[in-house]
Amino acid sequence: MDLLHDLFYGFSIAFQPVNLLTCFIGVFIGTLIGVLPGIGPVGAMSLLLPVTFGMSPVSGIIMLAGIFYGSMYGGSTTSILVNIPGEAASVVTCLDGYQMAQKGRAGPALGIAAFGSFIAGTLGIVGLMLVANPLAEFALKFGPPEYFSLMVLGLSILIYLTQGSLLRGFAMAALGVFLSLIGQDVNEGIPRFTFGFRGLIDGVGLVPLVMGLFGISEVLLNLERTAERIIVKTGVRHLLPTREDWKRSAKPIGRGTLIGFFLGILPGGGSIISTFISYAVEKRFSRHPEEFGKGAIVGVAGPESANNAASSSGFIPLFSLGIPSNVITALLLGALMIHGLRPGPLMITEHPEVFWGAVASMYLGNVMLLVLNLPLIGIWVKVLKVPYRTLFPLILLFCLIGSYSLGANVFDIYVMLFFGAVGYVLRKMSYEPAPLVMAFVLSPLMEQSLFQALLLSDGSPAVFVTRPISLSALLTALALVLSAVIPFLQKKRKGMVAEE
Amino acid sequence: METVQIPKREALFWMVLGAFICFLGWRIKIGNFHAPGPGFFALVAGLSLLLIGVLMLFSRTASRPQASPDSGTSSVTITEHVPVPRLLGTMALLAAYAVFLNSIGFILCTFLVMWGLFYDWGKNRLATAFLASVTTTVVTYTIFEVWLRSQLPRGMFPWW
Repeated sequence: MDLLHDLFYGFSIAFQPVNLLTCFIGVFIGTLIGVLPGIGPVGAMSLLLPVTFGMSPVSGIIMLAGIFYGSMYGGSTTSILVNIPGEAASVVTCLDGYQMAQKGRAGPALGIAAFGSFIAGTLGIVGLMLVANPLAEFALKFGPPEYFSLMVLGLSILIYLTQGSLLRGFAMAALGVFLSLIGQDVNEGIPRFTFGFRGLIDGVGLVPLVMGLFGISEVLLNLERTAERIIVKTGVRHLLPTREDWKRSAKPIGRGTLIGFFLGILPGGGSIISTFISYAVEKRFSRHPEEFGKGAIVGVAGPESANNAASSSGFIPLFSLGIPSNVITALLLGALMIHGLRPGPLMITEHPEVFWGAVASMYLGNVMLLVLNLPLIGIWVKVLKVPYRTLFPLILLFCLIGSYSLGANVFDIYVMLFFGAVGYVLRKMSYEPAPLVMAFVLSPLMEQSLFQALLLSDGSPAVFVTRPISLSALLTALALVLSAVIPFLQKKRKGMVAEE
Repeated sequence: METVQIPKREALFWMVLGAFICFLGWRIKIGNFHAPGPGFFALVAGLSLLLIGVLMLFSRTASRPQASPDSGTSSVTITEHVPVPRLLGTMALLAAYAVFLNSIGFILCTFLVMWGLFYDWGKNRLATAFLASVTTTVVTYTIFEVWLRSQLPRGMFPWW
């Protein structure tokens, strides 16, 4: 009964006109950036982060969360119609979705992607609602050593699952830790590593850093390519899947939801990995595996359900432990902290309006997305035709204004441009920026937990290995680190990342 | 999966950077386990980078990144080269925006920079770029200054 009471309370917040509007703006922008290749949810969320400063925390979080799960819906449209994934979690949808479109079945492919996303997204929110609260209550028993070790583990898993070299991933994380230390030290009040720049006394801003690494560098990389998009010319008709389509897709949607939900909780881009695993599972379960890659509707239904369920469950560690599971939730963590909230076990009880308001808004957002992605599909097809030479100046301008309006300070633009150039070089050299951002967000919390743990243990670092949860987390993290240097394990990981 | 060796200069770069961060941490006081100083965590980050650099130096292989998902798809024609003048030109325009924003104000600065960004060097259409730039400036001014009250700089035209 408490759960229902809390949910109704959440709906009373989500139905407030301002929150309905921010939810709609969030899912609309999410779908838009999902449809448009060249800017992902991370870039879009960092662009809109300054806009949320004028809003209440709950409205801001509702909008940013809407961008996240909205992009999962939008990403499938480009995968099916253009064979270009709008964002990474829709890569698998290209395999069968585009083949279906070429056979004149773009409508059912888009339809099952939208319905599957809706069902999985909604069930994922039910799971979030059921799991987050008990987990938060359990997490109240955690002390600073457990938190520190869990953050180390979260970061290690993210790096482990990042494409490319593990050593490069760890280098990025260490760099992220250093960058987060720039600015005034909270304990002693002395400026650290500012190199005489007054603009750095408050530290490197999360928004200029993310906009530079993900927004500017992405544009620079895209300027190197002249991509000609060929949109399927068969037209989009009969969006409602047939009875046969439903019969074949029901179980893949269910399995995709379960896979996505559980993998989404784990750190390291659960929404992406879950789509690949869902596709592999469906192929294995299928009576006609030879149809995969040639337009099998189950190859769209499973992965699309998985990525949406994962995007819902990704909020569980954020809301209940205060530990983000991927870069997007790390950005949400940053947003919550900018709004003066401290995500963690106490957040649900201290700020129930934020948690329950966000949860209830996700139900509404999923309904909005269904409407946006089915009857209004024609609009998104037209958006797909916008050439990149028109799009990129607009992305850059929004980055410039977004950085400036953060603190009405030109220095933030310089910081963004600096990280744009750094991000471009790093990505050219096969360095993934995700571990850097994750470490940047987690590092202040890690430093605080480390110092508190050492204080509690009277300066004994043994405190991290004498407490079971902390020890298990550290041992798991160590195993992942060792896999970077042990050849046998290196091969295993390559196999996993290659599957991904 | 094909493998490539991490270049030695890359390993050396991280080692030097790690050592530099250790030095910076040591300079502002590292402290000890009983009372960690402001440089303590920086030392941890620096030592980690140093270790990563050493491991890179001795690591024979690193997995080559997979091709981007859109690069191998049949519906896309992608030609990839590094158009250095275009990249430098874009970065120069963005840097100019930061330099002149406060002095000449949001409207003029945005209009000029967007004109440059919209200008298509291949097709040489100044008028199209001009119109796109005017439209963008008006729309963003309306959104950010009028609706969101972002307090954009007015520069040399305080009445704007």
